[in-house]
Amino acid sequence: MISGPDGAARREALSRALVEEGDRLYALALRTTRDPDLAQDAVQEAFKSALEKAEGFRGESQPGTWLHRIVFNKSIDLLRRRQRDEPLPEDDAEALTPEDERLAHAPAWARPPDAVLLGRESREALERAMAGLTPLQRAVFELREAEGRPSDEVAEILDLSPGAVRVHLHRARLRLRAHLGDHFRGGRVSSARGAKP
Amino acid sequence: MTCQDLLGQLAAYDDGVLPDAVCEELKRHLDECGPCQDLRSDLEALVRICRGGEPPRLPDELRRRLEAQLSGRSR
Repeated sequence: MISGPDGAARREALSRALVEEGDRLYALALRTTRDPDLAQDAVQEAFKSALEKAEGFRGESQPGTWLHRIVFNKSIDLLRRRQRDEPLPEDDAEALTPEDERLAHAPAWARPPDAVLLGRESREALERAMAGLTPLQRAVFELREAEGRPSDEVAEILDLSPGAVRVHLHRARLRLRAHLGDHFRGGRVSSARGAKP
Repeated sequence: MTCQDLLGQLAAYDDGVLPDAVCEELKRHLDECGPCQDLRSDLEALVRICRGGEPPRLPDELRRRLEAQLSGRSR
């Protein structure tokens, strides 16, 4: 049980973080796990850990950054626990591989009008494409591209170097682009080309 | 600069951490290279798709549970 002035300050800071960052914390967990139940568990366990540990508030991180890191780590723990017999894919942050180069030469997208490009089907295709990424790549993409955080901040949250963040981001972008390229070349897009812009 | 060089540096370019001279080379390559323009344009569209929908919201029931936990009304 948390008590005393430190405990009260911690509760207050965490309550503020829940208001200001709650949706983004959940978004990170959901993107990483791709499972709403696991994502909720990750956020709940993260706040429980944050209540029990004092170091984060006195360390170098802002509470929001620190909480994002805990949520990400809990998400990975929960994924590992669920997939005991099937280890999570490893992430290699070394220089770009031949597979990255192959993906970079994937054909360019057909050019659907914005009404199609930004429509529900495209978002659903993006969600499906996310399954082809590792949990870390999904987390990097969420923080960097969906939330628009600078790579330095993403690096702090995920405990990586900024260079490693950029490698994972690059891989995530290329894989998603290749998957979505298939979607935009499919019949659904060409049949929707008459949609009003 | 080659297409492969550009690929390796694009994320750093977006982060604004490349030296000015490399930025200039990268911009020049982009101006002249159709496939790299397509790639760049697709990646920009990818971000637009990603930001296009309603972002996920923390479920209300979980939010209430956490508020209670943080206020000391429950464990």
